Amino acid sequence: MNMIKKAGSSSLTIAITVFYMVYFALGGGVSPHGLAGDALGALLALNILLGAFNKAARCVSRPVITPAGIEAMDASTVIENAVNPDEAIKSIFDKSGISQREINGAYYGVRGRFSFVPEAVLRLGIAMFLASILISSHVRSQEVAEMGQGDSMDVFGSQITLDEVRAPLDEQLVVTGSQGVFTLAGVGAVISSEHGKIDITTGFPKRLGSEYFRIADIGYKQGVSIGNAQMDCFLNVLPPGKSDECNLQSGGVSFTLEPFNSVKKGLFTGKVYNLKSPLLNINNEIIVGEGQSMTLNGQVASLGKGSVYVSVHAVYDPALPWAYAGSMTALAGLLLSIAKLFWRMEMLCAVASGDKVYIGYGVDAYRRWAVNKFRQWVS
Amino acid sequence: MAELFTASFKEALQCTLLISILFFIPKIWEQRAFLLTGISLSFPGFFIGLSGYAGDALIFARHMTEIALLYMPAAYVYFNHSRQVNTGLIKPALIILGLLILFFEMASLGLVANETLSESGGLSYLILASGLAIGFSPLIFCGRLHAKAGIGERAHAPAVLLMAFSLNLLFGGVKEAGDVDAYMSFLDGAANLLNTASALVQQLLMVKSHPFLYSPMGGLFEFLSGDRAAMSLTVVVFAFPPLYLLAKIISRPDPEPDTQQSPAERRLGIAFFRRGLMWHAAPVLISLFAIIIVIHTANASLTPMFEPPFVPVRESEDAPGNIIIPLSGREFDFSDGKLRKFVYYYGNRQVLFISMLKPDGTLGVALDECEICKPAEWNKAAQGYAQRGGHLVCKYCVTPVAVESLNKPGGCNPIPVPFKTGDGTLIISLDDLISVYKSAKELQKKGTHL
Repeated sequence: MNMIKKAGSSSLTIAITVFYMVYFALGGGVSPHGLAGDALGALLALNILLGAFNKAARCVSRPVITPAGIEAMDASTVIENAVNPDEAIKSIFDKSGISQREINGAYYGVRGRFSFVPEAVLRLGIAMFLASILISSHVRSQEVAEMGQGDSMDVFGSQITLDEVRAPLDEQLVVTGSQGVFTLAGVGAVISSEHGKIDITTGFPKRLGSEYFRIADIGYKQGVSIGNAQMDCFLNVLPPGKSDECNLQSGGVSFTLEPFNSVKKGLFTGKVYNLKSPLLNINNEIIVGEGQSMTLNGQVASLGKGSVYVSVHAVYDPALPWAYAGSMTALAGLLLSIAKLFWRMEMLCAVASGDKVYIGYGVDAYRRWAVNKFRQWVS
Repeated sequence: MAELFTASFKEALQCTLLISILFFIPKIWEQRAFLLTGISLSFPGFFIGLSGYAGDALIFARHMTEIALLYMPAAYVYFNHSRQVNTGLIKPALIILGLLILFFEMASLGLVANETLSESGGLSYLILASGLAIGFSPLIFCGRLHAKAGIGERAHAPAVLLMAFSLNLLFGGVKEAGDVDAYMSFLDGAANLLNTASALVQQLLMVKSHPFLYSPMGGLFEFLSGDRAAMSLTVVVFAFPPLYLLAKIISRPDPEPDTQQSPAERRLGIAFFRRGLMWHAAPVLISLFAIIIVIHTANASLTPMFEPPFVPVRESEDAPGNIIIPLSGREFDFSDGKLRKFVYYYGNRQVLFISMLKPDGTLGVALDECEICKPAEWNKAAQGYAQRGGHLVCKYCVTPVAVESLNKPGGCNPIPVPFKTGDGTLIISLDDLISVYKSAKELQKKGTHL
């Protein structure tokens, strides 16, 4: 019962957050799938939203003005033996610059009535994001498909075809020192299905049908023929120095990129790799390039045409747009919150009771200075 | 034996400090129940430690208590102000919780005693008891002193509690038991939490980072899951309670003027109120200062100074008049970006110089001494530079110097030495090195700082 009364309060938000964090920590950091986690998350989102509604309602609604209510405000004063109470009230409102309104014989005025907006936007964003986490943890399903140009695959029951791969790989990549930095920008691909065609990148996911797609990784798709058998190896060997295994007929074989030259770069010697048409080092023994043959475990093997493959990450998740909307809204709320430095709500209330005039003042920030100002108005 | 005396004296003194600060809280001195609680908590603490139980649970409980105590004064002020929670019971609970620290301090002492007593005989009990007696003796005068000074009348209970707990964090902790303190423990936890939360959000938004492919907001998530974000979060968490309390104290409005009072009386009332605010704010400022020291000490320990030993070099036989140092070899490789120190013996004098690969891929060579800082003979160990993260640090004035500015004269930068590179080697002309060394010595003759 007490908890219901405190719904929307910051103390309840803090309490639920602590419980949620403890649950999160005890769960080993995994997504909170359990019923208790869902309940806590939903409660937290609801309480955060309710807090925003409460504050908005307090700011927007008309106050009930009574002498007791005025005395409970941040600062209040009583003018005894007021000859003309209405005149006295008007004079204080004029001094404060807050416009005066009448309600059932009492007076009130609010400045910065909508100063709750930044906080409300922030709260709304957080609640949306929390809700999307909860929904996503139950409804999300995902697949990763390694595809070269022209490959087709069944993803969530739809036939997806990779029409084009864009990978700006260097023909001469120089790697110097032991800690080279390798980055690859501008990787993209075009995929199509019965729902249409989209251009996907390593950036934000894009929607095709009811699924979202994004490039998660890149590597080499290398054709290898041993005898009459032909197969494709998906080699995850980028950046240079990394090795990957491919299971050929004769067993697992290790592949690494091999430099084709070495150059002097400043003070140091660097290795030069051709990433467009790479040389491959097999089992640390044989170095071969596209179209070349070798003897592998007594069998003649030859490398066919090599190309680039991309790992396409496909996700079915109706909550994903809400997660983005929530995070963007929260970010907007956070930026808007800067306005709170100079945007605050002030409320001036006054009511005459007999020859006494009760005047109260409430403010939601910079209390010390605001109250001192109020005393100047009423002095 | 001396170790046991020092440990018992130190722990007892820490407890005395804590208790004496708690005396500042109005009326606590009169309410003996608090004191009895503290004393009764101390004994089981000591005996648990003495029994040799130093499990993780005790350390975990202590860290949780310390962080809770740091936050409770701020929570008390917040709830008291917002009237959301009945704070009637919070204050005594807070004080009792504060006294729990005595339990942990005595448990630490018990552990030290356990280690020492198992090795020596009955005399050690006497040494332990004398250390405790001397450490606790200031308490005899404490109550009287407080009553005389009347400080308790003016003190602000949450502020005093915060001061007690932050000083305890500064002087106490669990280092006696060879463990990490609450700050470092929290830092570890924050790093874990941020790492996990970042990964979870990236997974949710489908923007998982990749080692070399572009990913949206990759820099943001890298920052959030890195050490700097964890450190920033920890600093915010530890510095928040004193800053919040300070803001609450300073933002209290002046008292409402009494219409019966004369203007002079009103002004006097306001002046008295503002003096009171200073009394309330003083313990908070002390605790803020203590927390800054805790944070700084912990952060400095995370990025220790790197100072390699001097490698002796001599004139090259192949190129007389030059010192030739290979840039990579069995001993070291300049490409790791670490500071290297060399010594050239010039007659009976040592010419110390440093070299390092700068982030732009060029080398920097300089004498291992500063143009400005000249430590005195007795303080010669403070001469030269060490590396801390991406900076060189003058060991004398602890000024960080950007590595990029190596080879540029002025300020706290090391004195540059001309050099050449060629064929994977660093070439320094001996004439240049000696000439720079002699000029530096001339400069040094002008005077020292100490």
